Amino acid sequence: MKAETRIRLTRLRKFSRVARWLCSGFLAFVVAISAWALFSVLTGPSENFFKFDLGRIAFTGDQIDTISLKAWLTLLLVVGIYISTRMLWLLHGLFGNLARGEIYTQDNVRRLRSLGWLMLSAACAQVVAPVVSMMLLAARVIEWSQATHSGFSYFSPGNLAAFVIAAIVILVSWIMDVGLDVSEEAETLRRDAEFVV
Amino acid sequence: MPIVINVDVMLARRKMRLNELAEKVGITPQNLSVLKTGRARAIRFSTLEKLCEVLECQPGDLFAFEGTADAKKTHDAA
Repeated sequence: MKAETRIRLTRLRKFSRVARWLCSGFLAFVVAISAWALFSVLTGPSENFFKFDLGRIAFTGDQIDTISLKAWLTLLLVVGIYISTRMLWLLHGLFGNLARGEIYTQDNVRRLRSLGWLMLSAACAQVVAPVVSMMLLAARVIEWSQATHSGFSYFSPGNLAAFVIAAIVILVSWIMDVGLDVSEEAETLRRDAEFVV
Repeated sequence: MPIVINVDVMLARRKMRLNELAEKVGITPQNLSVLKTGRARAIRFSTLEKLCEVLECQPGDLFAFEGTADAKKTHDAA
């Protein structure tokens, strides 16, 4: 291996070690805060610092006062918790592999691809959740004593950025898949070279 | 493998040992053993040239082709 490549690999491994620790911290934080949020929704209404933002509508802890609203917010929370914890868990594993110097592996390709699809799901959820919430409120499927039927924006530049980032991550996983094949071919050629007299 | 290596035949004719041949050709005995046992994937022309020089033979004396039945029929037809 060239010296320059070795230096870059060492840098990548060090970064990945730190990133893995950060992921562990974030994961613990997300799990704790999610559990607390879920508890607040299910046992509300109560005074707390939580604010559930769905486009133009924002529910504070003391405004979650109907069963239908609690059920809907619980569902949204569960989906959000699943996506965020799964993403952090995949990142944690990915950084773990990179810290060990395992770059072009089938496991990393799989993790990156899953991350990309999860990010795409999150981007879709960010657009769909406010729209569906407004529809359910308007149809009075969800009852909320303080409902205001104001307009809402369901697509913002932030949503577009989320879609673009998700697409880039999926593309990177495809590129890495090709890289894995090339790397395996190079390894086969290297092994064959040992049998060149 | 269809290509048969006859290095040991030439070694016997020239009454030479493997280590001696390896030293004169300039490759390791392990490498030469890889060639002798038919595990080599390729041979450099420089190595082939040295082998022929040391063993005083032609490249055709070192290798023989024993292909499949189809390959033989094609060859005979030609």
